[in-house]
Amino acid sequence: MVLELGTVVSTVLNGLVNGMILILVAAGLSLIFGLMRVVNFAHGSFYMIGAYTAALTATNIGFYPALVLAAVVAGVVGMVLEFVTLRPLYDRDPLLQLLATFAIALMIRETIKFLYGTGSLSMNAPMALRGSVQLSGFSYSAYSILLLLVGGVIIFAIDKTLRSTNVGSIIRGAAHDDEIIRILGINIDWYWTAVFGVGTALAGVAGALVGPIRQIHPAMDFTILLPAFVVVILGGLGSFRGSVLSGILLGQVMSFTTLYWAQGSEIIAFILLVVALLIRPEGLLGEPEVIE
Amino acid sequence: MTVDERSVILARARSTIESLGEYSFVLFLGFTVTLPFGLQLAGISLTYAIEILVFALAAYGVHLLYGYTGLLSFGHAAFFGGSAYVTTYLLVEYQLPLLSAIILGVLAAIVLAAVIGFFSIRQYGIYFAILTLAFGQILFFLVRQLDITGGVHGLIGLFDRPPINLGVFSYGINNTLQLYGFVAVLTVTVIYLLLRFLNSQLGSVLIAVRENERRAASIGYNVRRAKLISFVISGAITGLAGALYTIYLGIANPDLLHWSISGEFLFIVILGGAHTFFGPVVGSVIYYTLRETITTITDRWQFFVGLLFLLLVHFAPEGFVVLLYDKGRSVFTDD
Repeated sequence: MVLELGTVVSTVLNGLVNGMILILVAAGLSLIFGLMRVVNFAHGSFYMIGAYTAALTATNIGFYPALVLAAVVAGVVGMVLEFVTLRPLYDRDPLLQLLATFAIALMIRETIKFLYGTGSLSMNAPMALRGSVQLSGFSYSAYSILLLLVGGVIIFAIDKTLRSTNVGSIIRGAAHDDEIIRILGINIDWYWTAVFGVGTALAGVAGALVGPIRQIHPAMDFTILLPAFVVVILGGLGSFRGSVLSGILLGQVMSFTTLYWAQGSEIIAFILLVVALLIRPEGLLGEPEVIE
Repeated sequence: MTVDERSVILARARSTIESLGEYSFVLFLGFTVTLPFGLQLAGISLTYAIEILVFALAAYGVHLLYGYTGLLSFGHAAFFGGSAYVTTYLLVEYQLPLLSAIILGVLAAIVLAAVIGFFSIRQYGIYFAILTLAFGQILFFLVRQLDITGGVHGLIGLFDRPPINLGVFSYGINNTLQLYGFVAVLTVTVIYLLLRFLNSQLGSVLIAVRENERRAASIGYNVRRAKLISFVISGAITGLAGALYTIYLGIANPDLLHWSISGEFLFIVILGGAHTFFGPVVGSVIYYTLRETITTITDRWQFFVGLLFLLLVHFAPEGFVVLLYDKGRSVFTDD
C-alpha cells in the first residue's frame, strides 16, 4: 500500500507523541528497576494519578500549574508508598516485591474508582493550543508540538543529571553494584526513595500531558504499563538512554501498525517483547544479568 | 522472638503441614461435602461454592508452578480462558458430549502450555513472569479480535447443560447441586492426584529445582524437562478449571484470558500459602468470602484484597495457614 506523504507525516508524529509518553513512563520504571531491582507493577498507577490530578485541577489553577502539580502529587505519593510498603521488602524474594506492587496498583485503582467513579474524565488543552499549526505544507496539532517539547526538555534534563552530576553518578553506580556505594558511606536508601519519587513523578507528568488527547479512566494504569514494560525491556532494564531509544522505536512501530491493522498495535508490542525476552533480554543498551 | 527462632518455627510449620498430607486431605474431603449444606444453612447461594472450587483448582495450577517449582506465572489466564473457549465452542458448534468437550478443552490447554512453556522456561525469575504475561496478553488480544471466538463478546454456551453419559449411567448437571457434585468430584480427584504426584520422585525433582536449580542440575536432574513437565501439568490443571467454569457460566468471553484473572490466581495462592499444599483452597475461600462480605458495603472490595495482600506479604508471607499455625502454636506452647 503506497502511502501519501501526509499520512506518513501524521503517523510519524503520532508515533513520536506515543513514544514520548512511553519514554516518560518507561524511564521511571527503568530507573527504579535498574537501581532497586524492583519491578514496579504500580507504575501505571502514578501515570493515572497524574492524569486525574491534572484533569481535576486544570480548570482551577491553569494547565501548566496542573502539570507541575500532577508531577508533585505522583512523586510524593510514590515516595510515601516506597517508604511504607516497599522498603521493608528489599531483602525479600523479588517475586514477592512484584506481587506487592501489584497489590498497590490494585489499591490505587480502587481508590480512584471510589473517589471519582468508573467513568472517564475529560481535560482540555490550553486555549492557545487547541488548533493546528502549519509547517512546510503540513499541519500539526499544536498540542502535540507542546507535548513533544515539554517531554523533550524533561528527558534532556534527566539525561544531563544522570551523566553530569554527582547524584547522577551515584545513582548509576548504585545500579551496577549498590553494596560498594554503601561501603563508601553513602546512605543509599534515601537515594532509592528519591529515585522512586522522580520515577513516579515522571509517570505523573506523562499522565497529565496525555489528559487532553486520551481517555482518562480507571483502566488507564495498565493500558500504559504493559507497553511501558515492553519499552523498558527492549531498551534494557536500568538504561535510561535505552528506554529513550526503544520508546521512540516502539512508538513508531505501534503507530504504523495501527495504519494497517487497527487492533494490532498492542499485539505487536507484546510480540516484540516476547522476541526481545527470548533473544536478548538485556535489551538494546542493557547489560546481561548474571543469573544467580 | 528472634529471627532465627521465627524461621525455625516456620520451617517446622512448613514440614508439619507438608507431612500432614493425607490427614488434611480427609479434612478437605469433608469440607467439600459439607460446604453446600453449610451454605444452604447460611442462606448463601450454592453457586458460590462452585466458584470457590473452580478458582481453587485453577490456582492449583499456579501453585504447582510457583510453590513447588519456583516459577511465577502471570499468564495462566491463557490456559483458563483458552480451555474455556475450546470447551464452549465444541459444546455449541459440534454438540459434543460434555466429558469429551472438557477433555478436549484440557488438551487445548496442554498444547498451549507446551508451547508457551517451551519458550518461557528459557528465562528466569522476573523475565519468566513478564514473558508469561506477554504470551497471555497476546492470546487475550487475539481472542478479542477473531470472529471464530466471537470477538469482544465471546461465545455463548449452553443454557441447558447436557447430562453426562457414561454408558448405562447418566448424571444430569443442570441444577446447581448436581453441577457442584460434578465439579467437586473432579476437583477432589485432581487434587488427590496432584498430592500423590508431589510426593513422587518427579515431585521431589521439582522441589529440588525450586530450591537450587544449579545444584539440581549438578546432581543430574534434567532441569529443563522437569520445568516443562511442571508447566504443562500446571496448564492442564488450570485448563480443567477453565472448562468447568465455562460450563458453569454458560459463556466464554475474552475477560477469562485477561491478566487480572492470572492475578486473581496468584492472590489466591499467596493468601492461602505458596508452600502449603491446601493453600489454594484456603485462599479461594478467603478470597470469595472477602468478596461476598465486602460487596454488601461497597463495590470496591478489591481494595481490601490488595490491602490484605500487602499486609500478608509484610507479616505473613507464607500465607494464612502458616500464620494460623504459628499463632495457634504460640497459644498452646511456651515458645
